[in-house]
Amino acid sequence: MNKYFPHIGRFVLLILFQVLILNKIYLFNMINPFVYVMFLIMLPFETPGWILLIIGFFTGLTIDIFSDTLGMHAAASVLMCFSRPIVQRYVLPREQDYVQPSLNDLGLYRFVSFAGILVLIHHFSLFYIEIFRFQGFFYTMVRVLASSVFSIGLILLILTLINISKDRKR
Amino acid sequence: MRSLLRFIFRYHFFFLFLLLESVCFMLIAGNNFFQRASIVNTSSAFTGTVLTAFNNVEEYFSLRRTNRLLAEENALLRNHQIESYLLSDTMKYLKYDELHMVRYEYVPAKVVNNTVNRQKNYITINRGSKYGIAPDMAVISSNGIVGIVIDVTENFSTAISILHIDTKISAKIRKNGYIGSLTWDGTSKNMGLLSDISTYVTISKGDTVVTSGFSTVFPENIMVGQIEDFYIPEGENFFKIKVRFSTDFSNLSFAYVIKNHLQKEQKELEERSVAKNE
Repeated sequence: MNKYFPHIGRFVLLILFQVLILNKIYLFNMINPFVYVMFLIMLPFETPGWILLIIGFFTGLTIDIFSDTLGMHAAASVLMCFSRPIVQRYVLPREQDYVQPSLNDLGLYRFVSFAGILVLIHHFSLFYIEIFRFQGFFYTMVRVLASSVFSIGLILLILTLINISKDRKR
Repeated sequence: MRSLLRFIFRYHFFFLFLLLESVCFMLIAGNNFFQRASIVNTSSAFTGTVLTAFNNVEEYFSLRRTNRLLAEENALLRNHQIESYLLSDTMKYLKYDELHMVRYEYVPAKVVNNTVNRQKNYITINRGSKYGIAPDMAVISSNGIVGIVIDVTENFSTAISILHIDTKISAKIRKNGYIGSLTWDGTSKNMGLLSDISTYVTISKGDTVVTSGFSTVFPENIMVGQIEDFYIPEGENFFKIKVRFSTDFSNLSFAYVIKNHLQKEQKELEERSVAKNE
């Protein structure tokens, strides 16, 4: 049970953070961060694929229910979970045995490339599913890129803050 | 059969992915603008309650502003009171009181959830069918138009915001009464797009745009905003007019739902006439 506790805690906190605060943020008329994907990115590497997909689906659905976008976040999250093993194969060398897909275990460079590609996939599919037309293609693309950068920045900030508070405790 | 099962089992990851994605797209398709399942959105009892609880806290941050807006509106309403007028004769005349009934009724409501950061934005308010709210009713704030109710539960209702790329509202320029249609292009939460105004009409920056009253949803002369900028696209005979909304969508806390008591009658008549001519 102890093993699952951090993930459940992360799930609840990130969903609340996303729904209650981040969903209301809209910077420069284009940046809308989605940080809840951090929960899916940080699921352990040994999670079986099908569990990953199902967790992704229900996480997306939970966000959907709270933001009146039924199906959109679920679709983007499932796509992201589907591509996670593939990205993992290309970005992370196989020889090394990583414990967790976390900032501490992967190092900044690897973590940012791993999380960055996944966040891009998620945001790209989400924004285009939402608008569902090619009108304004480049504007949507700018929104995707700007929001992704902002989301990754927020994720790194959160993880750094957690690290600092852990160091203090020691 | 067995080899098929083995095949599916071997590629279960991919098949599960396809299955889940198709479920998602079925949800998206079945939950579009017109027919949204009311069980699983912010107007449902559970999510509505959670959002209301958070909104109760959030409200404190905008108390000063909200107070000012309400005070301003109170002052305005006081000005409209019958005591504020000098009655010149004994004749009373109300425009829509032909049958001694009120045409428009205002129900105050609190906004419990509201987004401005998507291309399709919705608003949840804390009044539902208990207060007689039904789909197709207009939602306005003290500053101007906000949206149209599309879905109702007992205690909550969701409205489609003007900030939704599929909205289209009949609006007119107040000073000369020319009518166009107001849409939102999804780029700025402060700007709408008024089209279908012919180029021979004289307009200028700062002109006020109000609702036209042609649709059965919004009453006439509800504030929309002011003209910010306009131009004529090459080879066209209509202006493209940018309208700055008078409503601050990122800071909505109170709203009014407008019941139009003659809506059904007008709609039925219009539909009947159309049917007759076909």
